[in-house]
Amino acid sequence: MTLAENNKRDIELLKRMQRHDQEALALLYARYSPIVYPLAVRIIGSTEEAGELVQEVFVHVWERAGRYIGERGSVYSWVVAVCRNKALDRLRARAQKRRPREGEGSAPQGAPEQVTRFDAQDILVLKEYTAAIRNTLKSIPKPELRILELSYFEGSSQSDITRTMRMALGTVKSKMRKGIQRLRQAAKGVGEHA
Amino acid sequence: MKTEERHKYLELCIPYVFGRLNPGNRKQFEAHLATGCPLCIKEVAELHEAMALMPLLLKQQEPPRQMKERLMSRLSVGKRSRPEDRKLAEQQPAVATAPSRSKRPWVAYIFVALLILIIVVLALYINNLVGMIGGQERKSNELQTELQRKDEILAILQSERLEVVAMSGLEPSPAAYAKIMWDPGKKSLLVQTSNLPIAPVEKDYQLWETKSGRSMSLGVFAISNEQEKQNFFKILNVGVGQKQEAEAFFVTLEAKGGVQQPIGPTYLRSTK
Repeated sequence: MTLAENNKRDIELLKRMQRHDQEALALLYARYSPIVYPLAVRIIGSTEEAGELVQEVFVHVWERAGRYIGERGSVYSWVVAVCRNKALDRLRARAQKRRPREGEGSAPQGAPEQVTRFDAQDILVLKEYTAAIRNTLKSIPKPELRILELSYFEGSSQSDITRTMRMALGTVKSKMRKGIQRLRQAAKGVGEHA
Repeated sequence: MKTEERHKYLELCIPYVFGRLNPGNRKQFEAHLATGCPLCIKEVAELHEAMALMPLLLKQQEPPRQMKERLMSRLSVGKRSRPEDRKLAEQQPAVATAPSRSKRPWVAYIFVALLILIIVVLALYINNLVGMIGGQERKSNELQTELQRKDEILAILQSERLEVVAMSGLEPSPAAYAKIMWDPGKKSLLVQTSNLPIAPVEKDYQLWETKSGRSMSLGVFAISNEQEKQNFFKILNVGVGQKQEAEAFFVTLEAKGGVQQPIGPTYLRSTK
């Protein structure tokens, strides 16, 4: 199965969600929570808060499944962007004022547990894809990658990065552009070969 | 759209995807995307895909099992109402309320009419309030002036060395009478009159003193209404010592602003 086909499956899941099919959300969760959870932990720095945030991400996807615009990227990139934005919002809010955490959720109720054989295959495709991406990303020079990490995971502005990396603004901009370019090539390359 | 404008928006794609646009620019950029610009849409999509690779640098990790259970339980609780309906009500009031407006346009008309009525009433009320405040302000200024004048009169009357000269009415107004009071050490002189006729607009009363057979003006005053006709006070500024040597005082009716020598009819004369 190619990544394009994988995205078609995801779009189908979003359509099912619009018909209030909770199993569709469970399947999407099984696919992408192992990716967005570490992303949330990386940005927020707390496993407990990250768990809550991942719930928020999938509730957001559930409630806005009908608003997904395919032209603007894959379902995967949308889910990841939602997670990153929410995590950075929390980080900024925390920086302004530490808020008390919300209470624990209600007792668990019956929910779809099993992942179908078909979706297990999908997840395998994603894992292979991830491994390929990680190999490709190794080719990105470390300073460029570090700049991308600071910007992506920590929401740092370019001027923040100049201080952290002790680089001129022009250098940061240039390396960031190169890094993004390499990521784009990586995304295309893996997409074509998956 | 011009090429350079497209270029301008293309430059916003990276900061948009990184969430670094300010709210105004983000809104503008999203409005631009909504126009369907193929260049920017493609650029944003590619950037999203590229940046979505970043989490793959991290080691994959399943969230705790209870998180999924909580998520599914949240959905079950929220199932009572359709999620999109609930969210529309929360986040898209304009979209949600638009149909009801089109079904009941008269509600909008009544609302607008009521709004106009409220604005008109408010404008009238504010105008009235401003007028009242202006009136009160004028009255307050008048009272303040009157109070100041009375303070000055009191200051003269409280003087230890007060000198008083009475004047009685002559032929034009025999019922009139007056007093002049002063402190010899001060420059001011208080004139009090009663029953002196209201002076014509072009005329003023003029107070004189006589010294060595010569008449010297001490100042002018006007009686301009009934209240002043009954009882009138005025402080005139004259030189210190000017009154001491006076042989007599008298009041004539002269041209507005006064004259060098008395030529008009005499209304009051000192009885000293």
